[in-house]
Amino acid sequence: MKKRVNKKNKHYHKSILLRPIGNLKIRTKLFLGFFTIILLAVTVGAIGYQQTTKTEDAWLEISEFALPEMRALEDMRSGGLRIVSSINEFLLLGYLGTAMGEQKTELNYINEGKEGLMEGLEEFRVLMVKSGDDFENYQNIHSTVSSLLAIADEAVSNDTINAEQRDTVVADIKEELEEAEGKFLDSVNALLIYEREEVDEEAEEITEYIEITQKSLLFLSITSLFIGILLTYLFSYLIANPIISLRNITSKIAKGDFSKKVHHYFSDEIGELADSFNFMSSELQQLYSGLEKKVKEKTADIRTAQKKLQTEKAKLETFLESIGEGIIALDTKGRIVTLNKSAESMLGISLKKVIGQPFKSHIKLKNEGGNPLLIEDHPISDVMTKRKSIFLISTFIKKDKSKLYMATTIAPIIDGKKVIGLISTFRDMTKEKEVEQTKTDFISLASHQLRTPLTGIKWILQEADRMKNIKEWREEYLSDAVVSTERMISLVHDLLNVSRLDSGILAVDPKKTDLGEFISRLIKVDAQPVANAKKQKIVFKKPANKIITSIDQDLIHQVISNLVSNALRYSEKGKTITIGLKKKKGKIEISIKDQGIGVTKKDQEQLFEKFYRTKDAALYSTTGSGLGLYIIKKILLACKGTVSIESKKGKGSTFTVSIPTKTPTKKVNGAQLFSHTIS
Amino acid sequence: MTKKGKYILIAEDDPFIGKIMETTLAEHGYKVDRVTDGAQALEKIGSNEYDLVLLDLIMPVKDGFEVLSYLKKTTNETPVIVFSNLAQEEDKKEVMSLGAKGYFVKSSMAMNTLVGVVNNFVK
Repeated sequence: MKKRVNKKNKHYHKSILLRPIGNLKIRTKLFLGFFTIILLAVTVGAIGYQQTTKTEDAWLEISEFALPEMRALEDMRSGGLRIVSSINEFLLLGYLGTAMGEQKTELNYINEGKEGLMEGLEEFRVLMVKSGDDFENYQNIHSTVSSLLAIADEAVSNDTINAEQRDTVVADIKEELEEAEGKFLDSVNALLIYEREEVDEEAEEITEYIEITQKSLLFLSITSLFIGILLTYLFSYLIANPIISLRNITSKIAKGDFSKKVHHYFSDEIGELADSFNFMSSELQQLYSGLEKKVKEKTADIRTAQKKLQTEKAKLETFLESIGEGIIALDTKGRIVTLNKSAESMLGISLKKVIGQPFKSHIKLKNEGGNPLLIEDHPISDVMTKRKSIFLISTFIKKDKSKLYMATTIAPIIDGKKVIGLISTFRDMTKEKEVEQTKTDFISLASHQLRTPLTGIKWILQEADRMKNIKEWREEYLSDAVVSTERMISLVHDLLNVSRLDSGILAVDPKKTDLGEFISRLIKVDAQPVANAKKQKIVFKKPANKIITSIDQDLIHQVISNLVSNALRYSEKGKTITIGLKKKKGKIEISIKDQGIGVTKKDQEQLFEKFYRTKDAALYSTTGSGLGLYIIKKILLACKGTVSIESKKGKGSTFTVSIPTKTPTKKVNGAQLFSHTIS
Repeated sequence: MTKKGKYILIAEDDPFIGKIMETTLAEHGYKVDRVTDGAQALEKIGSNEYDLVLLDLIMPVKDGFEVLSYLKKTTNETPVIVFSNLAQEEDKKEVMSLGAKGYFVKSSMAMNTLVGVVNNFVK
């Protein structure tokens, strides 16, 4: 892994040429750089020195050789000229000596001239040697001087020389001399010219050297300058750039950007540093990304946990919200922490308005005795201190002044060992209380209704015992006792029927029935006698077409006779009861219309409930049990039929029974109802 | 016999009970009027001076409670004894608070006990 990362991060320099230099150690690079510059300087110096030395040598050559030569030549020329003048002098002296006749003197002079000439000649030879001459001139001069000397010797040895001869000799010598002089001068001049040319050449060479030196020094200086700049740039490039790059990347990495690597091209110390750095960076990155990954994982874990928690919370909230019981959570100081929807609607308060506020300022409770329940005296404090759940029944007075009976359980919320609050669960017992009340009322009423005929029977029997004449008693009271007994039986039947209907064990056994005939018989046998007693009229118009359908005759008889019975009971004397029968939309409708006391809209809503009696009905007739309409509703439910009422208080009522054209059979576990009699 | 001239009103909706009470008390020498609802009872009390009213509670038109309340309201001091088949303690309390002189559950008393109660009261 490390190797791969390293390799990946190595960026070799594009130029292969620079690579070997770049790869050198910085110390070596610096050494090479400075060494090169010093070398350049030394080279320039050496070349300059060499050039100056050459110039100097040339100068030396000129001063040591050419100039003395020239001087020698000058000397030679002057020597030659001196020889010529010596010869002239010699000739003149000889001529003079001869002329004067002084042989001896003449000879001396000649010898003297001869010696001078020899000396001059020797001197000349030395010069010649010095100038490296080819001795041609010397030979010429030497031969000339030799012939001159031979002439002179001949002249000296010949004493008999006359003036003419002497003149001839002198003339010859003169001629010879002039010729030699000419030759000598030519030769010396030629030498001089040569020497001058040589010197000129040397001088020219020196000038050239100087120029070359100047140019080469200039060139070298400029080249050195460029090379120096180049080298400086190169070395700064090789050394400084990676450092700058390193610095830039460092600051980026310091900011957490690990994507950048130090691009180094050489394996010098910086390269190694960069490698180490990149390695460190990648390690850091790995560490960082490891950390990041861990952080991400942890964050994800936290998120998952949070999500889970939220889901759980939502579940709990939904759970709390969907519970029919009211729930209030309080903190240890009795402030409301939360309450659910049921609690809101039951207590008529909103969570938003009461959250964080003291429980007692919003929820005022009364105990079963109707006295205010003070939180301070409340067993709630026991819940806190003794950590025991309590159950109590209390009354809450709502804003609309209606009472709410609540069965309340209060339990502590314990976190570890500490009580952190309490939770109160309460159930609206109002309905139960109402049902209880209705039951109590019913039992009271039912027992009253049962006691009443029983009282009659009891007293009648006591009278029979007391009376001496049983015949008189029988005429007076026996029929009363029978009616009372029947009333009681009917009431007991109703009670038993309700019990059977409530437990859902009613048998339904339909038989084909002509409904018109069925209702006619019911009116004739059961209703008409009662109607007659109150001078009431029952109107029933049989439909033109027979309506034949399957009904459970006992059950439908019970329904119709019960409704007719009510119609008769709650109507004044002489009123009319109208019974209708028709087929409508695949159903059969039987309607019982009266001109009785009617039922208010409000009472209509509860009319078919068990034990419900309207106040009007109760005041009109005391014998009702509040069970008849409930029984009708239950019977029709079992027969898939319905019952409805249309009524106005004081304007009479119309009850409409709707039954299906075919009643389904139900015999399993079936029980039969006790029949109803119209009274 | 000894109670001649004592005038009693029976307010009872059950025809058989009312009838036997009326007959029996008449046999014991009382002058008896009988009505079958509370409204009639108030009407009778308003127009006659009764020595005692035997009042049923569950009656049509106006029940016994209403009759008692009305009497209390109008400060009519006609003595009333309640004979009812309501056997709840609350009913007895209410009745007594409305000024009744006694409360009896009919089914638990014999006919001659009733006569005895009336005799005792009007003596």
